[in-house]
Amino acid sequence: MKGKEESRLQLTGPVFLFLFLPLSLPLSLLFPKGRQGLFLSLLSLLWYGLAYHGNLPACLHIAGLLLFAALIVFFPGKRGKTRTVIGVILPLASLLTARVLDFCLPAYTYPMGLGFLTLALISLVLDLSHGGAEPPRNPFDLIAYLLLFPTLAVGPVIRYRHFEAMLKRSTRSMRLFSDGVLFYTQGFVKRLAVAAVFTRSFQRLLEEVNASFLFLLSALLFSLIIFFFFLSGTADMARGVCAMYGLSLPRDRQSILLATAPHTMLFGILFSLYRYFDDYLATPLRRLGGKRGVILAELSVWLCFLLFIGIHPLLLVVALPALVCAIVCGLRGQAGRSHPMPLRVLFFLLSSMATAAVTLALLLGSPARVLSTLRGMSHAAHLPLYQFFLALPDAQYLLYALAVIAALSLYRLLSVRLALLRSLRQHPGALLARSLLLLLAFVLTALYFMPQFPEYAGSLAGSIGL
Amino acid sequence: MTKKSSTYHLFVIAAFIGVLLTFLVFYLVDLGIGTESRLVGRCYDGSVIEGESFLDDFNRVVYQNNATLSVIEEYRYRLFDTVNHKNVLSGKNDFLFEVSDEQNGYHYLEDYKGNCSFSDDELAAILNNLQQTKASYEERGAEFLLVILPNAQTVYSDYMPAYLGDISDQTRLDGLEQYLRQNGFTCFVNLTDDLRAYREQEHRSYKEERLLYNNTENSLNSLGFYYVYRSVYDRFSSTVMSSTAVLEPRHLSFYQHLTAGKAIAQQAGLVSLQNKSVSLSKDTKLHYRFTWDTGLAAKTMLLPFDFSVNVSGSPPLLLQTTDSWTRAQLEPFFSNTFSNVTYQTDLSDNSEVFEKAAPRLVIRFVYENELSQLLPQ
Repeated sequence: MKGKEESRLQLTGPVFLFLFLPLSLPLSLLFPKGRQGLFLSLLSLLWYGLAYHGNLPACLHIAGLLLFAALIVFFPGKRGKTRTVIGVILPLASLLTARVLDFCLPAYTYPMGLGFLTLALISLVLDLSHGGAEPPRNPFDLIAYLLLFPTLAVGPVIRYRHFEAMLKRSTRSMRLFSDGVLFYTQGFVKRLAVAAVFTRSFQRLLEEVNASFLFLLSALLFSLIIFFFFLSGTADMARGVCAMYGLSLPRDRQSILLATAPHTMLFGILFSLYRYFDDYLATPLRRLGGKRGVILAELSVWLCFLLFIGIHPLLLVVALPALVCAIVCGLRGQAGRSHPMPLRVLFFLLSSMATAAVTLALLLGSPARVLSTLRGMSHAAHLPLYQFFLALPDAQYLLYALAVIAALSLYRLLSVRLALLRSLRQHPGALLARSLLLLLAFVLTALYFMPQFPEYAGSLAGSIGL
Repeated sequence: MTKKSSTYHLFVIAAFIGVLLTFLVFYLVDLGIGTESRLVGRCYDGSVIEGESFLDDFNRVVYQNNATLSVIEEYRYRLFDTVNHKNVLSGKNDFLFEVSDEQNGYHYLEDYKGNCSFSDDELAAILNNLQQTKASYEERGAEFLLVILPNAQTVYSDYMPAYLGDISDQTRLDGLEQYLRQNGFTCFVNLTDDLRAYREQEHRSYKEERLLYNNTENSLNSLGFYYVYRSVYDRFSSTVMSSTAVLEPRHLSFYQHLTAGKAIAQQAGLVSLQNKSVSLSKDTKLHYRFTWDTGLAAKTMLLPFDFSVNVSGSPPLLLQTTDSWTRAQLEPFFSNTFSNVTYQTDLSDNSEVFEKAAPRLVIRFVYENELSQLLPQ
């Protein structure tokens, strides 16, 4: 079955969690402090080999890119424009080719992580050409950056100059390790106990219902929840695993609860990707000056972000509100935060709907499927409520999950506003309680949810198309 | 503070490593012991882990682990009323209901909501068929009675999930009953009201309610069939009643017991969900013997010396059922009451069986989900 290879070693899988991680953690202690790059590169190569040893074209493709990167970085000579242009165009061309082959050839398996590897390679070339970073000390540091396996699935996207600084700062400490444990368990619960269950229900909705207003409302809500929890869960797990290996990754998202514009909500979920395009694409375009520069900058970031996560070109229309808001905010300066609370709540709801339309289009995939779904809705007679519940066997669990999500979101919002709650969160008792709850949730998720989803945990990555 | 935070970090790390190692040992032991009895054929979502490498074996031990999946099925049902099977619906009080009966082309839920009625043509065809059957038997000196046994979903409609609401008053059975009565055909009995009344009686009389249906199979149990027998018997004439001795509850010994989950529970992977059954005690005296048995049909005769039955007043019966299991359930009651009872395990008008049975009354038992069998074949 397609996707079998990556499902073998995904971060939520039993092979990674119960074999790879426990065996690799003691090994990291064998490497001296300054050799973190060597350890990470060997580990990433091992991980990729175990996950993809059955897919020779994918391995060759990745190996080719690594060799190309080594040539670009270590080949003696001046880092002129030619080298930079080749260093950007060739990886992009290989990515485009892989995408086209994946679309046209059923027998072809798209190498997972190729998108992020391409971004990393381009970042490396650009940062070196601008003088923003020093070249990697050795090929191992290079491989550690390009093939950092926890980030290959869904990010976060790490720019080379930031990775270079992280590698220099990398350390082994109990604090970092325990933070890593908490990040990983948090991400694990988000991915399996929330995103996977909502994904299963979403797919049941599409198969069994596909009609009525209630279906549309549920599909929008589910797609937003799936998108957020899948991406934030994976990012948390990546952050957690890297921290356990001694590498402290930055947070990958902004608080979408405080977002009052569709573009800040959408980009905030995969913030590192947004910052990447903003840094390398939008900032130079803004230097053109005037409104033209701003419009081009926002348009380029919007286009690249959406096409990278997998929105079909014909479906970009659903994301137009995000573009319009981005341009308006760009022309006016930073989006205003001084609106009164009722207005902020209204903006939040409208932004959520606009973002949900994008995430729904992303999960439905092709324009044909979107059209057939809309057609089904327009022809639907009134759908009885019981058929909706019949289609969703997890309905009761989903309601509980939504209630918990709402409660935690409210708690988060209040703790931003109320100093008392903020200080309470830092209380040692509260920290311990939170940790215990998180570990308990992790155990229950591993016992109860993980065996239910041998494929789901990996399948959404495929649909996002990274 | 630093010392305290070190303890906290140590605790978190130790707990995490401990959890990982516990799971690792559990799954490695399963892997080491062997896979035959510990694995099921498919993962929870129906997929199969292919491949023979160590990693594939390890994934199989996790995703196709019998013990783990059974626990998940059970707790998914107990905590969230969710059943991992498209054809099984979780009801209240540990009842599981079937969603559809593919063999008979019948959809329980659609009928429950009143969306499954017979068309006018079908009703006319059924009426015509029944009238012809009745006439055919009357020509040969026998009366005809159609007995319809309701679904568990009908008698225990209050145990259906709340989101389904109340049972429709325009189910297929309701529609058929109305049509037959409107057209003057009265040789039939719909046992829904009778069984509901007996259920209510059981509820009032016994501290722990005795069910009439198996909660994990939706079939009538022995107690349910006893009440079927009583409902039919109470419709006989006073002559017949005076000539026969009805089996009262004091003559019989029912016992309530728990068994492993039956057919529907097994379908849904909830074998651990116990079936509350009421069975006829094995020491119930059988005052009859078989005179012949061809497989398709069998005849019993009441032993004359144990019961004071006026044989001449006890009409010979021919009971037609759709399966042998129903026959086996009805047999202890009817054969212990009537002098001659012939059982036929199909609904056809078999002249050979009729001749051997020589009945005064032909009783045809049809389940509510099998009403389509009343249509001309």
